[in-house]
Amino acid sequence: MNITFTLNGKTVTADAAPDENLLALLRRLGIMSIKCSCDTANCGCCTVWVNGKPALSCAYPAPRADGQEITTLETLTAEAEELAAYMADEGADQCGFCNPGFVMNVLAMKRELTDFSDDNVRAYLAGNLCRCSGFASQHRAIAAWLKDSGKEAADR
Amino acid sequence: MLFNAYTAPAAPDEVITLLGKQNNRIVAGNLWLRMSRRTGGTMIDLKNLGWDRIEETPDAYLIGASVTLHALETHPGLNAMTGDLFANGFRAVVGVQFRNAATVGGSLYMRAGFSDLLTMLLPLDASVLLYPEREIPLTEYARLAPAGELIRGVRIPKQETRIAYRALRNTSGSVPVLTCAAAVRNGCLCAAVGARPMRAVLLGGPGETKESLAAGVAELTYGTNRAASEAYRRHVAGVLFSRCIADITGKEARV
Repeated sequence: MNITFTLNGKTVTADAAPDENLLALLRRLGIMSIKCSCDTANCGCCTVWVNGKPALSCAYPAPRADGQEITTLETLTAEAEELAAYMADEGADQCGFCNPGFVMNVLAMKRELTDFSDDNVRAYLAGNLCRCSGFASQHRAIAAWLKDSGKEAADR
Repeated sequence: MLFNAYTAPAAPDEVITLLGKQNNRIVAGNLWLRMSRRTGGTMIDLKNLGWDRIEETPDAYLIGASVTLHALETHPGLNAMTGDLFANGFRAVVGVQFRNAATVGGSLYMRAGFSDLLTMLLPLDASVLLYPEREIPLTEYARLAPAGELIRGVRIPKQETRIAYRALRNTSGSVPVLTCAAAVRNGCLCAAVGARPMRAVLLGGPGETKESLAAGVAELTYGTNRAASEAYRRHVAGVLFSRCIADITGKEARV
């Protein structure tokens, strides 16, 4: 079936199979930042934004994207590169497979949270799994980036 | 799960008609159904029915069936009434992306034993809003889901409430092995225990004390599966109940 949606700010029409997921459709359209990892909606590697909210594209039915606004890392390059510099400084990258999904969720978190306590940040990012690291280096990088961005824990 | 067709009806009656045909299924968050090996039929999407809103009335909150768990956990009014019940209770459910897909209706429809949501809602005197127009207590729905009717939402009445929720998980992000909520609603003490591994049940009412309720929790039926044994669950239920009571003791009643 033909669906029309907004992809990274541009209107796109595509043919989507009834049981195709958004991950497969977007990769068919050349969006390669999104990775298929667990394929069971657990790891976060396939994170995209649907109407500005982080979603798991491996579980999102492609036909449901009709009329929606989909955002991927390809359109968030400037912000992502800034965060990536902090990641590199902390040695938080190893294989890099989880990174796109991680960055998508971190950028969503920056827009949504109001209290950037360590607990809240860790809870928000709990849906992003990394097989390589112990998460410590990533969290140090994210904490430093948030601090430099003026996002801190709310006064209690 | 593999479907032959997809449709997003504009009216609930169309959904009911479609469900009359074998293999047609409503797909909500698509977090559980996608793991099924079933094939064939039509995927029915509820996205055009307008059931994705939380509405506040003078005496209740009406939560649409397509409201996501993340929308529920970030709702200021509901969290203010319940002392951040949903904000804290859903924190361990996989991740924010997952909770942006999981829906209230999908979670309740499953009536799963491991449901955090069911355990949290039972002590709140919640009722299930069905289509066509009918409302039944959640306690009744949890016992026996009526056939041929759609869940269009949940109603939580506004009442003076102190409630706490605790769950034990073997690993972070996994389904709970035991869930417990304790609440004081209009002066009545009650508790819900779930993931026994059976689905949550509600205990308590007028005249109940924490001692009598603790005895009731201990006498519930528990079972053994790969996650935990019956004895372990029975023990943990008592512990979580005690902690929930401690959590609500001294908590300011909220309306």
